[in-house]
Amino acid sequence: MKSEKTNSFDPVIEKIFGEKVTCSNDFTKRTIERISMEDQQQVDLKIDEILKYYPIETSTGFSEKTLRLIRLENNYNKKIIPLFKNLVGLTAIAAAIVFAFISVKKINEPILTEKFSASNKYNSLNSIPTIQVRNKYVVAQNNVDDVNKLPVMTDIFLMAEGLLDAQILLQDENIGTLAIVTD
Amino acid sequence: MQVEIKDLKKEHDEQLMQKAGIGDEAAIEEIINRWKNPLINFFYRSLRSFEQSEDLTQTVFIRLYRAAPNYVPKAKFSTYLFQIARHLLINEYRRSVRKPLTICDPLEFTTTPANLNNDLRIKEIEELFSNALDELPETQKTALLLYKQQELSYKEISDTMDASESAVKTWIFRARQNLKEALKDIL
Repeated sequence: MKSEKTNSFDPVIEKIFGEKVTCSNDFTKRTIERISMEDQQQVDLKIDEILKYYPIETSTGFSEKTLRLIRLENNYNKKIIPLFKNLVGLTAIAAAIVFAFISVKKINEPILTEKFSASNKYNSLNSIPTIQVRNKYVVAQNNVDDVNKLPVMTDIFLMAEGLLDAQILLQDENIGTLAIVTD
Repeated sequence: MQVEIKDLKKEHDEQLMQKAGIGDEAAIEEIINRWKNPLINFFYRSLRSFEQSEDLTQTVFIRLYRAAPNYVPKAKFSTYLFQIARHLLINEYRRSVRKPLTICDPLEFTTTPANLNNDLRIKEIEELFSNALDELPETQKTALLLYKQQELSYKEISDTMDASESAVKTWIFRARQNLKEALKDIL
């Protein structure tokens, strides 16, 4: 659509063309907008220019230093980590051997057996009440008249597991003596 | 050896990465030489510390080397590279919140910056520009730097920043508006 013409004219345009011309009403407004837009584009370009400019560069020998670090890491991965893994493996094996040795030693602990054996009262299993725990017995001293009165001590039952020989577990003046013997 | 280096120069980053993955040191060296300056300047525009920027650039290459054996070229290499860089940058921001950074003037470094110009006007513009850039949120700043400084496409930036393309466009637009506003007196 053709814009509305007026009798007003722009002196600059008149100077250029040497005659009076008429401009649309919004000519000045559009020109200012265009200048402003071009200004904005100029600002954009300046911002882009600054952004594209690299103000710094890496220090001398940066690549070599980085490669050296990479090589170090490479060596670490190739040599130290397997060595460390071996050490961990060896330590685990050593720990397992020590643990097994301690366990065997504990199992064959003679002192507890001797304590039990020292008392003549417990020579016969028939004369004392017993509670079977799997293939082991918790043995109570005669002065406990009813085996059901024995406190059910989970710990004792748990301790019964894995014992190979008789062992005194508890000595109490009210309860009596509890011991375990293998079936 | 010379022939080998010349050959590497012709190769794409993706091919170099695959070579680095099987332990080719010359390939990783070529990648370092290609990308060290874009990376340090990317970090520098965000952190304004030469030393931190160089440290982070070095870390990117070490991470890149570690990742090389498992590298699958799904996207453009620069997308992959700047993904690593951005993660490091975000970590650095978090760290610097706990321990404020010391801001250094690049012209005070003993190393020689590229195209060193003593013109005070340039220095002033650079200073004001850095300050204005500093004020931008991380997303706006990173998107703008990747777009203009590193010349990544919107798609590549959206992959790098794990965001939609429209979000990237919005960040870049807002970053520009904010910069223009901050720099209106000098540009």
